Order: sequence, then C-alpha cells, then structure tokens
Amino acid sequence: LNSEVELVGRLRRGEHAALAEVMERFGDDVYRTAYLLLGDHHLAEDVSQDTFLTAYRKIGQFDGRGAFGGWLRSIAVNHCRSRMRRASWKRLLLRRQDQMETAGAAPGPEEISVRRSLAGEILQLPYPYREVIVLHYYHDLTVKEIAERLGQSEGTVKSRLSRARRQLKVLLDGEENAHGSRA
Amino acid sequence: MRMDHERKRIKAALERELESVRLPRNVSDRVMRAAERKLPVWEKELTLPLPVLVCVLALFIGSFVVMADSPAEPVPAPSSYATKTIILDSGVFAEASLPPNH
Repeated sequence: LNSEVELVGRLRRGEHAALAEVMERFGDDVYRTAYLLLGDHHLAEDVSQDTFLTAYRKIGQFDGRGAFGGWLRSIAVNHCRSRMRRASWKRLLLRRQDQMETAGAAPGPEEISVRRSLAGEILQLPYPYREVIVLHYYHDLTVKEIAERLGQSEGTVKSRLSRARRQLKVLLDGEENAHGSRA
Repeated sequence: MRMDHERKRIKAALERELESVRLPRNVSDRVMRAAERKLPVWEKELTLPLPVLVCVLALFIGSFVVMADSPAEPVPAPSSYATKTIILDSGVFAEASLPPNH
C-alpha cells in the first residue's frame, strides 16, 4: 500500500518513470478488462492507452480514498463505455450492410473456440450486462461498489446482475448441449 | 455461500483464459511518447469548474424562457385618449388626440 501511495505521489510530480511503473503493474489488468468488455484486441489497446494517459494527466482528480487500481479500472470502464456508444451508432448506420455481408456465413473455427470459452460467452451478453458481470466476477466488486463506479442505483445494478447471470447460464447451457451433440 | 463459490469459480476460469492476454509493449511505448508531449494550455484548462458550467447553463435556459414569454405579436399599449381622424382642407388625413372626457 505504501509503495502505491509513493507511486501516486511520483505521478503527481509528473515523473515519467512512474507512469512506466504504473503500466508495468496495472497494464495487464486494464488491458484484460478492456478486452473482456469489448472483445477486440485493437480496441482494448486503444482503451488501455487512453486510460493510462487520462490517469497521468488527471492524477490531480484522484482523491486517494480508494485503491489506485480501482480508480484506473473506473477510467478504463468509462472509456470502454464511450467506445461502445460510438460503435453502436456505427452499427446502427451500417446494420444493413453488415446483414448482407454476414448472411449465411458459418462461424469459423476461431470463432467457435472463442465462443466456447467463458470470456467468449460473456461477450455474447448485451453491453450493460457484460459490464456488471466483469466487475462482479472478475474484479470481485460488490453491488454497492459497482453502483458507485458506474454512477447507477444499487437496484439497477442488482437487477442487471441477476438478468445477466440468467442469460449467461442459458448461453453456457446451450453451448454445453451443442458441444455434447457435436462430440 | 453458493454465490461466493460461484464467483470464485468464474473468476478462476476467467483468469485462466486471460492468462495469455497481456498489454502489448508497443502500447506502453505509445503512452510514454504521448505523455512526453506537452499539452497546449487550452487543452489543460478544458475542464470547466462546476459553478461556471451552472452559470452557462442557466444563461442558456434563461434565454429560452425569456423568448417563450415574449409575445409573437406586439400588443398595442392601451391609451386613455380617444383619437379622431380629421380631414384637412388639403385632403390630407390627420389624427388628433382627444381628451378623455370628450
């Protein structure tokens, strides 16, 4: 904990070496979170880059009450959300074209192997459900903590979590059955 | 208890799957290069303090309220004096105000 406080202090002083150390320590965690939420390595790279730059430039806004890693994660989740918002506008505009391109296309072997994984199934969930599942199960956050991070009510988070859990179970059961029938 | 067990199981499975997913080196290099770049002053000062933001919003909303309250057609001001049209010898029309008790 002391080393974290010291690291934040060095970041506040604008030390570049401290930023490198932050990426060394939290880089994988931020990148994995972004990948779990967006399902795309390029987007996860962009979000990680934006997250560390935001943290470096806005370190003055970190009040030191919670863990520094948690603050970084919140920045990453916010960046992921804005990427998703932009992507949904694009999808809305390009839906017709996509439908025409993907109609009748069978999933490739890579896609099948991704879908068989738990991360792949989480990526099948609608974005708001994916968000609560990742924060609750992967980052061990409670409903209250998720609500604070996302700026939503505890009731909303609780109901999203329960619906997400139900949908994930359906997806996992379906995948298990499909896998069983293929074997 | 069951929920805790479920949470641990899912977390362990995700950690296993994401073990090989690591932040690429080139991302860290890009971040370091971008961090060394000096930000222009306007970009640094872009964050608006809350009171300023509230004032700007209040002005914006206020201007709409004022516009909504003002009538589209100007209402003539009521006059206590009656007016009378007089035709002058030259054939020109003229209006003259008459005192209220006329």
